[in-house]
Amino acid sequence: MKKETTDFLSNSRADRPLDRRRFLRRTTALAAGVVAFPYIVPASAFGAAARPAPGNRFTMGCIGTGSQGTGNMTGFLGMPELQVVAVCDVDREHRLNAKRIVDERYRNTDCAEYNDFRELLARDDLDCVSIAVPDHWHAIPAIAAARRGLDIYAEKPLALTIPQGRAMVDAVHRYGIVWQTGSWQRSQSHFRHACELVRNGRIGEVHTVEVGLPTGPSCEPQPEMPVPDGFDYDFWLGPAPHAPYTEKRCHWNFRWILDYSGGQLTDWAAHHCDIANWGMGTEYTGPVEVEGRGEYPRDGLYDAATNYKFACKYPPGASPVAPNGFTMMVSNSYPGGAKFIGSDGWVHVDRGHLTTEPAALKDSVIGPNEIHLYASDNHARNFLECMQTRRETITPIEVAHRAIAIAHLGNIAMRLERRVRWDPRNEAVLDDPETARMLDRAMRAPWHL
Amino acid sequence: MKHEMRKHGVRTMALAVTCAMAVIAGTTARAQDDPVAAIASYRFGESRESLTAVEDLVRAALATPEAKQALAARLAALLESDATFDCKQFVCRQLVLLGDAAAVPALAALFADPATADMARYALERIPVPEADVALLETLPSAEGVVKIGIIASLGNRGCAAATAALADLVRNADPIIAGAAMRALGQIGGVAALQALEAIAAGTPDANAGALHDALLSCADQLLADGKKQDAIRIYNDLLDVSGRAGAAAFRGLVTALGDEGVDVVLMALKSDGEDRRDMAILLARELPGGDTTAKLAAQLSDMPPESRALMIDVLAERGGPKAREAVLRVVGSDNASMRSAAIRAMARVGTAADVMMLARLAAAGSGRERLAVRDALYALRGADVDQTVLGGLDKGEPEVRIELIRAVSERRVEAAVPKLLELATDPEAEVRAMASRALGVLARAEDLPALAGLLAAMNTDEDREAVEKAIVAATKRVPDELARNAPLLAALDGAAKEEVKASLLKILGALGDAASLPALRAAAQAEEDPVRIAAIGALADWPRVEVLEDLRVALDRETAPAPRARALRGYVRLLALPSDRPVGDTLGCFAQLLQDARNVDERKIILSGLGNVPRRGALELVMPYFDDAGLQDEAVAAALKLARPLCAAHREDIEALLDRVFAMSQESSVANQVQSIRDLIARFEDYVVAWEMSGPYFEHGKGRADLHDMAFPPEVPDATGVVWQPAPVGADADRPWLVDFARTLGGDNRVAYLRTTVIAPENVELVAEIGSDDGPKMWVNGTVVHSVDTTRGLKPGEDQFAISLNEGENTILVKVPNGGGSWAFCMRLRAADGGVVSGLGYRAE
Repeated sequence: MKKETTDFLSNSRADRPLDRRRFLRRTTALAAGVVAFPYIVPASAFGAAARPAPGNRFTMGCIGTGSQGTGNMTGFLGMPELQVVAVCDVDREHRLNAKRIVDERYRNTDCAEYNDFRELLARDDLDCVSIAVPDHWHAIPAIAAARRGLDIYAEKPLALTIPQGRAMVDAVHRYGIVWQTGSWQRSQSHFRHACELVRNGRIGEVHTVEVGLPTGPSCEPQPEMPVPDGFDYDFWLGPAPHAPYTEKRCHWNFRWILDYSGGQLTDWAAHHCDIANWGMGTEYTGPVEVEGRGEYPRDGLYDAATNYKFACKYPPGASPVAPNGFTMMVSNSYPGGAKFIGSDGWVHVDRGHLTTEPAALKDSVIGPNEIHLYASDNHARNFLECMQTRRETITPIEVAHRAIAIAHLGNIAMRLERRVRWDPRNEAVLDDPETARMLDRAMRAPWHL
Repeated sequence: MKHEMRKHGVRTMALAVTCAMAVIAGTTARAQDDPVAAIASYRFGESRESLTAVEDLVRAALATPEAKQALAARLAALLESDATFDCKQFVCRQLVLLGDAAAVPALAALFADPATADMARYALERIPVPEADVALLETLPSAEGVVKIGIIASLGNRGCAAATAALADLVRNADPIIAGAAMRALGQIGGVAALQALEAIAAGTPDANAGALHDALLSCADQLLADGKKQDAIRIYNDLLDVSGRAGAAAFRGLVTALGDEGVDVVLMALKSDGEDRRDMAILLARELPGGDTTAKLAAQLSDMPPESRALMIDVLAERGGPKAREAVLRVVGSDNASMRSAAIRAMARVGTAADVMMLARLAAAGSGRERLAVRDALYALRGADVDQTVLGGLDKGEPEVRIELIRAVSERRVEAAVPKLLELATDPEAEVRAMASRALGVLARAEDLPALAGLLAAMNTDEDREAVEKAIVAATKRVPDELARNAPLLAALDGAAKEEVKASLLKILGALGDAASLPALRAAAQAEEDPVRIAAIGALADWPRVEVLEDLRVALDRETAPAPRARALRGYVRLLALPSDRPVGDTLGCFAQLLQDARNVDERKIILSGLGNVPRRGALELVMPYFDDAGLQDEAVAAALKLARPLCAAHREDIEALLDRVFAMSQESSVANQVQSIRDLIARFEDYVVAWEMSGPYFEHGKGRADLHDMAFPPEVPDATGVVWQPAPVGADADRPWLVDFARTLGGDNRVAYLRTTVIAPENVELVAEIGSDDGPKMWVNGTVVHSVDTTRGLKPGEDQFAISLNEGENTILVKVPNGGGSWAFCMRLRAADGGVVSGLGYRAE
């Protein structure tokens, strides 16, 4: 760690000018008719043809410019109200590629590039950041950005552990910033419609939700390799335990290793468990009991579950549509998506399709006096709108935290082969101090929250 | 890779206890019998099986304190041995679960080496015994650099109150990183002593640590508030209100929370302030603070807000809802200020009531553009049991424009009780009211309303009105799931209809529904003497969704003499011919050839050529191309050829390139030149990837995931299997990677497989390297032999797998199976020489 760098979690913005820029942008957008909650505002409401003057654009820094981060960044580059001014990645190749894309988009060479996110956050001209880094790095830059008052669009799954997620939630809440999680399925109308069908009792009392997620790979033991030129591997490891470099550890493949992620289970739970929570109205609580079995590779580099199935019990009262409680089953053995099973039928929603029993149920229209869920038809734009109005986004941080907590508890229960009793209110393991030790892990110094 | 479902095992438990007893007895087991001993020499890169065996022991040992203690001791002993770094790191991970007071000394000893200090903390931080605190505290003074920072962080994470004094000393450390870490740890620990230590340095903190200090103070204040010490918390929040950066705004939030009911007044003041951060927070708090009184106060202040804040506050009031919010919003619905008015109209969707129905209907009737749409949205979204009744009550009277808006509203709000009234309005003297009522009936009418709708059809006097009711009936019947229930009323009406134009309307409707139940009636009507009835029936058959009426259309074509009904029948016939069916492609092309031969005039040939453009087969192109030389048909022939060229260019690259050259030379139209260039560009981007593929699938089996499907044999890989349907593969859809076969785009779905096949023609026996990328892991056969198989979930990375294949002189069959667990699903392949160079002379055939 470089000594000359200031405290990496500093929220000092003594040098940031207190201008009226952001507020003026907000009111400009309001005049254009942005405020439409809970109804979708067409992009044309922004007058998309006209690109605002530089002083009236939100400025963004992009932390993490691998495949996901670059994809997110490209989406933001298409938004005339926003300007990407800086990119950051510990892999020079990723970083320079991102800079090239930004510069080509704006036809200049102005995009700044950083290896160290702290230097990017130290800029005094940022309004927001996009964060798309491996899971073990989610908490630190997010909390640092929140302390600086920057609004954040960040990738799922929210955090590597439940306490890290809670710390992120607390920071976002304390500093009052706008947070959007990359669980973009919420901004697809058929997912919303599926959840509204469930919430409005179209399938009666729900007793089971089956969440189908993909499975991940295993691989042979890997040799230690020289770190590629331009890749700051020690920074990539960051708060994770020291480990020799090998190609399959990093970038996309990090998610198969429990030091950095939770496998496809956590990667996709942040989508489909989130939808399950949305439909059940359990976005601000959690299960009281989790139990299951997982198959973890016994050899090789990857150690995240390749097959898994666990049950999460929710008590009566947890969900408005399950008066007698319900069970959320999570497994790679179910068809992908979330399937809500009730006394009068079922609703199954996945990417690209919604099926119901009875079949005509999917065409059922939600009336004005029924429950309407938050509507967004563009996830990135919803973030931008909320930056302007200071309203909660469609996937606020607490909701993202609760979704991924399900997967973390599932992993803990399966790894220990124990039934985990959980207090969702206090986020504490009940009557089992050993299991409680699994909730969090120490960070490699000098990194901490 | 071997996987085993973990189970609580008696055998494992017995082994754990045995190992523990062995340690107690001071005996040493041989490595192969003793997993713990086996790991001492473990290094990264070796098999991890010995480690997972120990993990099994750890899990089993948790069952009893004795076994746990024994195994912990055994593992801790490894930390003090000359075991490898990787072994010790693994042991520390296990001690997270097993560690107790007895394991602490061995862990603390790891602090002596900076390289193992993080490992020590990895375990110590999670072991809930006071001895762990003591070890961290005792090491703290002598630790340096990152080791010191790590220990500080661990003490903070453990909430170690005993560390307060030591940390208080460190907040003034010359190293700002150490000082900052100590501040944060004190914030986590909290309490009077921590607070005093933090406040004592508040004045002299360098900017670099101001954020850490303020965050720590906020943590202390939050903790005091949670403990009921409100005044102490308020004092800290107040002290921080004016600090720079976001901490001031965070303190403002804390203050408002601590003030409770009085907090709203502070928020109101802040909403009028110039401070950006605080105002941000005030807006957020204005949304969050509970209570109707808060809403009333915010509503009362709306007019006093700075102009730039007012629209935002209207949005806040809308989110809060309630009568006071509604009153405030109503006052600005008619504002001259566009942004205020816009915000107020949108807000009405949330705060409006039945009392606002007519006001909104009048606004919508008088409005225009985007604002009118916003008003309508508000009207459609109004909540309340009496809103629908109010809307219904307004349908009878008033200006037609207002009534039309209310009819729209009953439709959008799905007020099914409005159907009787809409049936009346469908005969209203005002034409626009009639049209809107018919449209609404299409949305709201149910099965039991169909006879009344059929009656309405008979009562219509103009073609325009009749068409509006036709559309309504089609829309309504499509919502009736039972085929008989939706057809019976219409067939009965057809039977009883006196007027030819009504019969024709009903036949059109039956055709649009496309139900088998109505086919006999349609076929009978297609033989009718009366021209309007017969022509309507032919039209219905021509629009039929399935190929079962092909012969009926053929008969009509033979019988009809007038150009119009012949053209109608012909259009339907060629459309249905191009639909997917069991008919061999050769037969389909034969039908087209016969049609071209029998066509009575140029117009009919144009229809046939246009239809050929929908049959993406090389044979279709061969039928089209002769008409390039026919001046009267050249345009249609070129259009059809270009339509065929895009899907065929992957499988028949050379032929299509020649075709494009010819078309380009022949046509003067810029649109043709553009299309030619677009297809040429596409072909150029294929590079040397294999793009001549046929596809079959998707195949799946309920309950089976990707891993199961990988080795499950579906018909395409079963020798001599019959009934396998192959179709051109979806190549060219991705503009940047047109060589990609994107199954997700055409097949979609999780836990399924698709197959690809192609024939490679090699000029001689040759050894090549196949470079493939696939999502997920593929299986590949060359000439019937499996040459490659990767059973894994993965994303597509072109060239990720590279392996040798042998091709024989002449034709070689390549079959590829691509499973998909979830998400994206794609494949790409190119064949290269052993040295990576491009191979020339290979031919590909996909049909």
